[in-house]
Amino acid sequence: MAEEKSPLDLPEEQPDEEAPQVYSIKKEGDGWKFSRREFLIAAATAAATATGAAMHALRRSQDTAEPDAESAELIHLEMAIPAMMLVSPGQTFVQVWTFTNRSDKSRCHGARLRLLGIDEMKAPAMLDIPEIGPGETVEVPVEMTAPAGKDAYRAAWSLEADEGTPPLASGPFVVLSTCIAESPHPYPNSYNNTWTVTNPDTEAERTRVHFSQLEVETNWDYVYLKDESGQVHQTITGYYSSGLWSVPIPGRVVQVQLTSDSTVQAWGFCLDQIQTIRGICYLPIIRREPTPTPTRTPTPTPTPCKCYGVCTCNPHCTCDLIHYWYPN
Amino acid sequence: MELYLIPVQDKFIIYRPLLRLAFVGNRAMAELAAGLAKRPVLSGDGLPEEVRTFLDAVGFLQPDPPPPPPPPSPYCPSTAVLLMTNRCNLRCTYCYASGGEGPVQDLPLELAQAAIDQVCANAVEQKLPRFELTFHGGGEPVQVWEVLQAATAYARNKELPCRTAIVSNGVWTDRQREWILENIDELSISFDGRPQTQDRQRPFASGRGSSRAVMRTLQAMDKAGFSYGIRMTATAPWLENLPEDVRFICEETACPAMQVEPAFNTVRGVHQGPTEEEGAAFVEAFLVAFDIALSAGRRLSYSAARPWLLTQAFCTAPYAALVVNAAGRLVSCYEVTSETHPLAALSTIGRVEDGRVAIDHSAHRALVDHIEAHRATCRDCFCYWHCAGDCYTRTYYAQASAGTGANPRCRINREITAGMLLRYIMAGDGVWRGQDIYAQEAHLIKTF
Repeated sequence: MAEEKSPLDLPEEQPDEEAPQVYSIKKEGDGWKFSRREFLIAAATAAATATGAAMHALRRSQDTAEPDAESAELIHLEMAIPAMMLVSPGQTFVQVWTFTNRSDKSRCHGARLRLLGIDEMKAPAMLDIPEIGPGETVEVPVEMTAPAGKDAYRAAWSLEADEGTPPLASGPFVVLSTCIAESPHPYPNSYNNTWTVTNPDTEAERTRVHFSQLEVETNWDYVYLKDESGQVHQTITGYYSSGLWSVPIPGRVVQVQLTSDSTVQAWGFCLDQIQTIRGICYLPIIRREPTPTPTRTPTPTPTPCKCYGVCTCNPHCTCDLIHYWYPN
Repeated sequence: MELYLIPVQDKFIIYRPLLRLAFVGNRAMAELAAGLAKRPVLSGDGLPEEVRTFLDAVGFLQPDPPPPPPPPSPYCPSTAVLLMTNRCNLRCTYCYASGGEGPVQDLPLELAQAAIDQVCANAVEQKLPRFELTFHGGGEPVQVWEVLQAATAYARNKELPCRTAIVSNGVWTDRQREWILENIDELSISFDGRPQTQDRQRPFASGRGSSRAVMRTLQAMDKAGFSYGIRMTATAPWLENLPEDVRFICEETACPAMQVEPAFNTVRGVHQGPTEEEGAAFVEAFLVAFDIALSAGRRLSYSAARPWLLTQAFCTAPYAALVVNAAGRLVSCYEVTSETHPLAALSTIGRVEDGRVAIDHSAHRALVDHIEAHRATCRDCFCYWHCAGDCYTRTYYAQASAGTGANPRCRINREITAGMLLRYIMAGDGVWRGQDIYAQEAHLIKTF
């Protein structure tokens, strides 16, 4: 989450014409205005969409693997995964992954988050997930540092449990210091406006949104959070200067409605994060260790590689499982 | 991989029509895309990471899907189009057919029945669930009311269901309107917009304006919840008139879809192509009007600019319709209504006589060859899969007007298509992947 705001200094136009660039466009008078900055959000969303679809296929292929007889109890994990967040260039920030074990009996132990690929950011290569008993929830903070000077970044992770590795990915996030959606500051009197936010993760079963700041006149002005059909799931009033998370809203679309009465204005809101809530069921899988070849010594600690599908640098690497992220 | 680079200001639309993918890039991205089109590479082979991720995400590295199928062959039409009469109660200033003038010629019921018999039999042979019957012009089909009613009843009594349509000027009596709403499935009303435009361009034979009469029809259809299309004809000065005429239709009717075609002739009874200046003026006006319609959740189209469509035929008439004019000739275009038309010989592919349809298959083959030969000259154009060589009759007039120069109609088609692609890209936040930009506005259609 963004700890502080800083002005956004990204150029609207990329001066480096030698580098291939893609633009979002807007009608402006008789001509068109090309914007590099706005396109980044769209590109990140597109990448997430492609990722989600491929992950589904990969998960099916995992399901067909041979389960180990002794550990073949179904584990049902519910995950809250950052789908999109806004941070400032160079900022160190924390993504919080939340895991809830929804299994009746099975304990989830030995699970790890492994970094598969990352775009020019600093992040730990591996994170252990504490043991999770049935019905328990744990939060795993992942500290990352955004680079300065570029503007859209992604990271891909896998969840490993007993070497059965249901894949998942962090959502794309964009280094911008503006909000995904925000009200006027302060908002006017007698105001009524609705913003629609769409989770880029197409596999999201539910979506939560985060407000970096939300301040509306207590008991007179309100923020309503609705699903796509318009059903209200949360009503918020009051002052939350340090931010708050919404309740999970079914689906991918969250409508944020702000209404005010005829007197007393407040700051309003800035929505700065989108989080996916989804479940995953898997049978832990015991895999055989790969047979070492006489001519090559296995690297003991897997590191992220960029072979993108056919790994030649590291026999432990699972990059052949991440076609979804870098498909050929 | 079929790829086109369409210049727009100092950037390029990078367009793959068969994949239905378009986005805007700079020259370096355009050159990179062109290189990939010539020699696709595995992702990771030297592409900047951000670019590769983007191209993967939008599916750019996928091969093209198969092209759309060719038009049906052999010629076995299951749609009858009856050009009912040259009579007309209006005297539209741009009417290519000089409707309402000259000796009266009405389509006899027996010819209509023979055409209906033929298309119904064709539909049965092809195991289709229904056949189609359309009443069309050269004049106003409602002017031969009894034949129209009788032909409809005849079609309804065939062994297959029949879907009926009418293209009309909308000047109807109350009784006619009630019957049409009850008996006709699809309606296209020729209507040009604001009263000043409609009355100037589409007056009654007496010179009186027709706006009130047509608006009465449109309002009655809206009240009945009957969905219909409006066929507009736009004349100069386009920028002053067309956008406001489209706005008027959006505000005053519930019509969900409008099609506009430009008329460049200033004299009735003649066809005329555009000059370059006229073409450019129409393009500018169309795109302004397109935005107005889009913001109201309505579709505005022009027949030869349709990036949403992949096809190998501009028009189904030469391939799937049995078009019978009032003289009993089978023609391949609704606009070829007279034997004096310069394309009449090419476009006449048989006749109805002695109660039976006699198709001249060699004439039909010659027509199809003519269309295909023209389309082959368009192979390098990014509109190739959309306008499919364009309307062979309108292209003929445009080329005749342009002499040996470039066909100005092609320029219109390309510029409008590119303008629509830019709007699709804008609606797709930077990438168009075949999505319907109207889907998100569809709710507006119901509430207007």
